[in-house]
Amino acid sequence: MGDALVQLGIDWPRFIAQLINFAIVLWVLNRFAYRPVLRLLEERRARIAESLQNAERIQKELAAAEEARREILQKANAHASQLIADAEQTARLQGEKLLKEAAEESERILAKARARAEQEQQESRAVVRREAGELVLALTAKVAGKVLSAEDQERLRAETMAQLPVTNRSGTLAPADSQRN
Amino acid sequence: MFFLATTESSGHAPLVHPAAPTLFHLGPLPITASMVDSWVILLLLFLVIRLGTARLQMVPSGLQNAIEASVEGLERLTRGLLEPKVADWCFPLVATYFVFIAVSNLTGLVPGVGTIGFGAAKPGATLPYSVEHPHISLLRPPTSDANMTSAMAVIYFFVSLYWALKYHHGPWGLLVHIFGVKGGMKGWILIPLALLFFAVGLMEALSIVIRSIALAMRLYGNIYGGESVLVLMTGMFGGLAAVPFYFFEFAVALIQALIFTLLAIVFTGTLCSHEESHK
Repeated sequence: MGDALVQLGIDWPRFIAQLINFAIVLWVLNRFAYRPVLRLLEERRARIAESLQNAERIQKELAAAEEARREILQKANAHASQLIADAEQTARLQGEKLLKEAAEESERILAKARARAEQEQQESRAVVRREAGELVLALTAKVAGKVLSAEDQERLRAETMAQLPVTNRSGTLAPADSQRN
Repeated sequence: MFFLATTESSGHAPLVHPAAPTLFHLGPLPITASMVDSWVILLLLFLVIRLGTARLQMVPSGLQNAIEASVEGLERLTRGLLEPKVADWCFPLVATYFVFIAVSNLTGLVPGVGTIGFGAAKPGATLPYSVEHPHISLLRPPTSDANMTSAMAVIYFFVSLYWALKYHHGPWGLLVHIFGVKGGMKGWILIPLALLFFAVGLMEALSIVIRSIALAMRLYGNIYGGESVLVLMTGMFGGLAAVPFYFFEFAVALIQALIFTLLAIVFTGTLCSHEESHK
């Protein structure tokens, strides 16, 4: 065994020297390569994860904003159409009301005109009748003036007047009415 | 080992001596060609790493990219085979095994390494300073020196033992891990099983020791053998015979580095694991 070790050139000084050499290599690599590089890799990994997270968050916020925008728009649209519908409703009601009022007004005017026409017709008929009575009376008086006494005249006149329409019974009004017409 | 003894007794000096040649003595310390080579490797690694990682950028480029890729690849390899906690302990050592062994093996392929040195002058050579064969080469890959491979294996042996003790919370936990009855059986069956698992544990303990020796000798044998083959083939057909072997040795250099690293990781995995993960 010892012989073999000599054959292979293994002895303590050389062995320990190589042990130290390897330890130095190990230290150098660990100090200058592994630790900084692994720290950097970890840092980079963390940063990438953070960026991804940020991107995701931004995406989410964007989506939320878009959602809010759409909601607001929808609400505004709904409000506007509600307003328009309300206005239309009011306008229609107003129009109907006006139309109704106008119809009523015209009806009233018509009725009034009709009533007045009726009244005027009656009045003119009464006037004609009285005037005709008076004419008859005057004619009769002229013809019978010589025959009849003043008393007879007065009686006759009263009888005639009594036969005339009721509305013109008051003798004082009759001439005024006839004059006005 | 017996093989080596018989070759020596037959009187034929091997083409490349199994031991790294001693260049000079520094006090009591013999300085060998492989030591010089390992310093060269150390310097090379240091320069490359300082150039690549002196100013680390968030957005990497060039050398930093290459170093990052190597470190990340090795880390992923370690993490893929071990528990996260153990991988954290293990990573710097096994990554250094890979980097150092790979670079060291590859230096053996650089022209001049192993071929420049002292030797008997070649008679009738036209070029000055030509030697028949460099008996003492100035550089020799450290992985073709049994001292270096043994040093790495011994470091692994003690460090992995330390990890195992740490992982199993002390010697008792480690003993239970090695000799304990696995499988979660209950009752009288435990008595024969305990005997069986004691025998299994003895083999396991033996294998823990042998693993390290095997790690050292496998690497040393492969690289030393490769060097020998290259030297032998370079002497044939004006060196043309060596060309395919250079490709072959290039692959061997990386494969042996990977094997050493992977085995170190896997052995650590068998030491630092709970029974649950075996089921």
